[in-house]
Amino acid sequence: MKIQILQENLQKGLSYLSKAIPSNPQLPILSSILFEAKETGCVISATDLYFGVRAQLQSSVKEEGTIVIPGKQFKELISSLPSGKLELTFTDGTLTIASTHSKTKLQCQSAEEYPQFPQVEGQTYSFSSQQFQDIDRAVGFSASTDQARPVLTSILFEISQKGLSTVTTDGFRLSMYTVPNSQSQTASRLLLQAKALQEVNRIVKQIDEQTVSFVVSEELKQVYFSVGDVEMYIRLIEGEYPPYEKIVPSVFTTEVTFSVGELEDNIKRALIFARDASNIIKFTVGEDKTVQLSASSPSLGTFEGQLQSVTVSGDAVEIAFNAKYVQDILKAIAGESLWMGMGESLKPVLCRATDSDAAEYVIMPFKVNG
Amino acid sequence: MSSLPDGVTTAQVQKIWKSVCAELQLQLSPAVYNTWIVSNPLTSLVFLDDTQALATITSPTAFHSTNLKKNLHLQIKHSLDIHTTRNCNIEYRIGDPSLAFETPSSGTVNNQTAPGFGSIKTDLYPEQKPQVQQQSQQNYSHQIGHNQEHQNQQTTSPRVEDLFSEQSLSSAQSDRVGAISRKIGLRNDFTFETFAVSTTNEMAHAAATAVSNRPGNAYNPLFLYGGVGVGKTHLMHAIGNNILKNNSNCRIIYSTGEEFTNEIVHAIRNKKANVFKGKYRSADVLLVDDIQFIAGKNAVQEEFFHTFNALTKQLSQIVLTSDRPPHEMNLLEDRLRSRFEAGLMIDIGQPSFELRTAILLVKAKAARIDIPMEIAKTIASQVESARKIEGIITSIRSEVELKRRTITPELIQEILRVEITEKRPMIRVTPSEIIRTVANHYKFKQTAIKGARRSKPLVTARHIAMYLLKEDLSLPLTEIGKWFSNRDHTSVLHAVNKINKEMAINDQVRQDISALRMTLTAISR
Repeated sequence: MKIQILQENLQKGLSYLSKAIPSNPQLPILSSILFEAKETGCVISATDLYFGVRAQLQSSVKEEGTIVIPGKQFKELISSLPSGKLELTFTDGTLTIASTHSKTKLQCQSAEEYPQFPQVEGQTYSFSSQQFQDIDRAVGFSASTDQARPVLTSILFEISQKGLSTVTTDGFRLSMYTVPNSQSQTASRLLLQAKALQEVNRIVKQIDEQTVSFVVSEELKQVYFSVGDVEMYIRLIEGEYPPYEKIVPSVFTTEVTFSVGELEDNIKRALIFARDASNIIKFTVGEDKTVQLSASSPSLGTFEGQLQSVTVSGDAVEIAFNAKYVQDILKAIAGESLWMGMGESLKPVLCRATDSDAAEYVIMPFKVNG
Repeated sequence: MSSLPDGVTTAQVQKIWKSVCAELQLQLSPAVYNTWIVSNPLTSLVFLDDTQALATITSPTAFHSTNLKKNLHLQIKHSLDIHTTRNCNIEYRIGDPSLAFETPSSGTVNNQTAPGFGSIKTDLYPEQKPQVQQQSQQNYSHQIGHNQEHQNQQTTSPRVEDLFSEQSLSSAQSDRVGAISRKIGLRNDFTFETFAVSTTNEMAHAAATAVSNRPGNAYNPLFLYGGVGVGKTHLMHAIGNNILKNNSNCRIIYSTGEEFTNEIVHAIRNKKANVFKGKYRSADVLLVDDIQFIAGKNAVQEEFFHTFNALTKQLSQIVLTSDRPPHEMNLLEDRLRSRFEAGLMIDIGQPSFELRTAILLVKAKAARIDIPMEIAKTIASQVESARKIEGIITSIRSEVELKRRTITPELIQEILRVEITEKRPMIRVTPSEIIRTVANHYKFKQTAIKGARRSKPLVTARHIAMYLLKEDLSLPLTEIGKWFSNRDHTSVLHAVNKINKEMAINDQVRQDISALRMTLTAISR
């Protein structure tokens, strides 16, 4: 095998693969990347058997060949090299990488043992990149990271009356986002891993493509993305999604509208004291239609902030949240004010931006003694 | 997948797979074995006959399955063939192997496919706990100079309830149902649970329960009729509330005959008849209270007739209430009457003394006031309609809560006096209207009422007319006499006294009078 390639192009290709190279796999060969040089071009691939990426490289192939290169070391090496032309030659189990001033030899395995990528065929879906990124921004943050319940680590795509709904929940909070102007293309529910989609989004952003389309194979439980020169394989998650519509509160005894900026600032202050108390911050809505935000730490002290730009209607209530949950919502909404509908102090709370109800958030309050 | 026709149980499948694993483990390197065999188990085995078998191997992803098929198929097949003593065809499936295993044994299906979301909590709890710990833990560690910040320890104070806990699901559900029923116009406190049943209304209660459990299928339409305050509206609301409880997506429309009339008038005036039709004809359940109001209004009856037909055609439930049975609604169109009579018609009688007492106690309990049995009986003996009972309870409550008085027989007497005499709505009609209404009610000609004939039913009707003229219009006795063929004022006095007496002992007379008063209130200005 013999090819010539620009360091920039190789480094870019390797960066797409980075999340698909496991650091300590059961099967050692998975920590390597597959390098295929054919007359039609070079393709590099990596997978941990759950997530897989293939990238086309711009290169000139002098001599065909397929090898497996230790992933981490190869990536480190290439990124440390100066930009410019590289020549990769493979002979007798050794890959020689020659740049203008250096020559590196890497021991490589034969390609036979590297796992094959599946052929994914099925229904094709497409989104504009903007829509896809909006989904991730609006709901991606509240997916669970606990692998023990794969269903909760995923984003639910579902056709509802309102259009395409996307949902995530970790069991304590719930985010729902209705994708505007989405053609009704999904016939069924799809569960896609939030983390994998985040990676897809990262790559989409780098490639700067306008549309994201993917193929779903129900039979193979696999989803195949093809964006520019990069192909990604992610797993279709199976399982029953929690009955999320059922817990969305519908009756509110107290409704408060916050100014996003003011609330963000106050939470930041409160967090200093809440940090070592499970991030608990308390909202006190008074009879006199005022809202106070407070946090306390037994060792450090307390914070109390009176929110100025709030509109309150309804009853007085005290309610405690994980500040991070509120912060995440404030980050996700685009508007300048946040509406919050509350019931009793232990009932879930509904939040949304006042100027749009495309995204809605439910958070479960903390139970605070006393 | 679970059929296993010739008795290859899950246990057997697992046993065979175990022996296959043992063999493959010897042939393969540990890395290959762990990656490709352990995580891709045999999940089902079907013996087709003595020589053939179908084996299913489930892999977590398409990557596993593709490569297993490509690289290890022969080895697995060879091993399987030996252990099953058959020629195995292997099918590669993708799914969660742990789920696939459990499915054949029916008992665990539910646990597996619809995991209780309570378990999410157990899964996620550990994530929350360390944070919760830190507060107490850090203080502690500061004091004794150890550094064990991230040690887990049982916490007592704050915690987040699971969003999908039973409790949270059911409370969200009941909130939702409550909100929907309020939006429809149903009273949340009118449910079957708060409805006191006795002989006079048990039939109606049973029919209403049946209808609410199987709307559209049980009795359609259900027509409830009876006098004032016998619980028609309560039952109707209870039907609506119960249907919503069972299925919160059910489209229920509740209106009174009068609202229905007004809506039609409004729709016609604003040229929005189609909107009106669309609204009523898309209902799954239509509840119309006091349907007698549409009698005599031709355009309204016409529209109701078409709505009725459209709804029964699509098996939507219709429930109607009225103060009298269809055949007594004189101005009702025949085609509507026959349709009302086609369903189940139930008469709800005036509540008996015992039932009134029971209703009083139920309502008192709902209003959180404690009324002793003796007092309850006193009230029940003097108040005939359930609606008045409600009024009295409200008065008692305000006396108790606002004026801090205790419930004594004297207080009750005082309230009863005020309630019974003063709460009657003012009737402002002409004497001839009263006579006409009474005549219509008893199906006599007005001239007969005013005339001289003295058959018994006619005399009762005449007396009632006189009574109403005296009691409600406060006409002088001689003036009343003039309306009835110039009768003497003593005859009128006799009539009024007689009806007053009858009222106390004769339920029928009392009912007739309250029905007449209701009609008169409706036409009064």
